[in-house]
Amino acid sequence: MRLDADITSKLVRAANGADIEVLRDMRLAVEPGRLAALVGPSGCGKTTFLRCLAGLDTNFSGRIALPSEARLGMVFQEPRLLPWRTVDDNIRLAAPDATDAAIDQLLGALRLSGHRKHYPGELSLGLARRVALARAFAVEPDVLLLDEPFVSLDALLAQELRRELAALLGRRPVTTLLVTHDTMEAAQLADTVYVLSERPAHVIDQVDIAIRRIERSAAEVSDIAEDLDRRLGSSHSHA
Amino acid sequence: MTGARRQFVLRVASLAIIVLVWALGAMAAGPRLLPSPLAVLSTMVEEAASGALFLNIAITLVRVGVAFGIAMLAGTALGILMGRSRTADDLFDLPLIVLLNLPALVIVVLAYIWAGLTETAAILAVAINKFPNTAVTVREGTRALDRGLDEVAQIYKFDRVKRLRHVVLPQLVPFIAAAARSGLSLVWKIVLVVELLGRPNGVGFEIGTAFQLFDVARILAYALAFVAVIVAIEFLMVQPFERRVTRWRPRAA
Ligand SMILES: Nc1ncnc2c1ncn2[C@@H]1O[C@H](COP(=O)(O)OP(=O)(O)OP(=O)(O)O)[C@@H](O)[C@H]1O
Ligand SMILES: [Mg+2]
Repeated sequence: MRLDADITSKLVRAANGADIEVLRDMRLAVEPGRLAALVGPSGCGKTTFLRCLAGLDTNFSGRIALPSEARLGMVFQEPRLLPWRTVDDNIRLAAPDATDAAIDQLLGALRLSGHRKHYPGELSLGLARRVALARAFAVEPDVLLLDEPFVSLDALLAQELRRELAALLGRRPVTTLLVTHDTMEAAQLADTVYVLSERPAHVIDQVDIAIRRIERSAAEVSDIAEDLDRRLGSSHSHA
Repeated sequence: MTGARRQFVLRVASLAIIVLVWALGAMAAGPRLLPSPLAVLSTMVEEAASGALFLNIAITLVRVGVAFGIAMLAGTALGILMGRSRTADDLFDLPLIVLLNLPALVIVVLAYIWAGLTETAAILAVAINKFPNTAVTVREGTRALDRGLDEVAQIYKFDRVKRLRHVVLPQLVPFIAAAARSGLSLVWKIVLVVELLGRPNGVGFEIGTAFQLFDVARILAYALAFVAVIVAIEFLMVQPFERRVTRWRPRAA
């Protein structure tokens, strides 16, 4: 499924009653089965944009081409699991139609098989993040929205989870939008990277990565990341 | 397990002290004002043997159960509604405050006047006494619901029933349990008053009759037997239920 968004303006009301414009002329498209990364300064409006895409916030002007029957998978900045349901139940509640075999395979791929009967309170952050990812994949989503899914994990663990995400996407490509502030992460996973401006956010740069995800060498990934850093840096000094 | 043992020993000791003080008091005050523990026990056995004790306790328990159930259901529903909708909150807040501060006796007397000395009037009067407190407690819980989990439910297209059962109610359990605990003790006390004023049977009616005959042993026999039943319900039903629904909560090791 293709994801196509054109938000002309999105205002939020601050606590003091003033309206802040968070998004302006925020346009982007993700081709079916592709992964686009969104990188941009902190607080520029990335989460707000994902919430508009997900239908969690409908109070904006503009247009989002996403049929209402589209199945969404979303991983929030925090894992957001139901604390009173086991790992298994958290996944099955979100994906009642998933087969046992599919869930077994998913939990195996994310190395959660030993934790099915655990409650979220018994999991480390890394494990909870994996469960959130498993839940998003279990619904066999048409569109996947990931909001800094690996933030505040140590570097090694984040790397491991990125590899697992790449493997899942390799097996079943999903149209994905990944918000990240880590240019290495974007360079490693994305087909296209959109660089965002300061608030109000809009796309100021687009980088298409020609090399396929699985074929990117470590050196190529760090070259791409360096290029992204440069573009982000220059956009900052302009703004 | 030494902790549990210690607790058990202390509880038995406190019970023994109460009985001892009672026996001493009975000797001082005389059997007419305060019958001895043994006299009360023998009255209890007599009433039990005739079947009257069990019948009256059963009747009262049914009234407690039905009134409690109605109050909890209606109170929880209104509490959730008021916690979620500003309009409902503004609409029902004032009547709720009035009801909360209306003395139980006034509600009972008015219910009997308006609906006659009937079973329905009795049970409704008790339920109306309890339900505003449940609504207020559950409203607090609803206001504190996690918005983030609501969004998860929306993303993964939970229907209403699923959302209520797996997202909303688990968060309300501590509030509903608090309302239930204070509710059970409040409801049974009001049920006795309702029975005293307008029912031909039940523990409250028996105590009323005993009062007219100045039969203190019978008053104590019924009161203590009923308290024992209520305490048993608290220990055997309310607490295990609470443990069951909160077993996901990580406990201190
Ligand atoms: N409800 C709100 N009230 C006031 N300001 C808000 C509200 N929601 C968002 N904002 C503001 O809108 C801006 C965008 O917020 P958003 O969470 O989308 O940023 P972000 O790019 O995801 O940031 P981060 O990288 O820190 O996650 C921020 O500056 C924030 O202060
Ligand atoms: Mg954010």
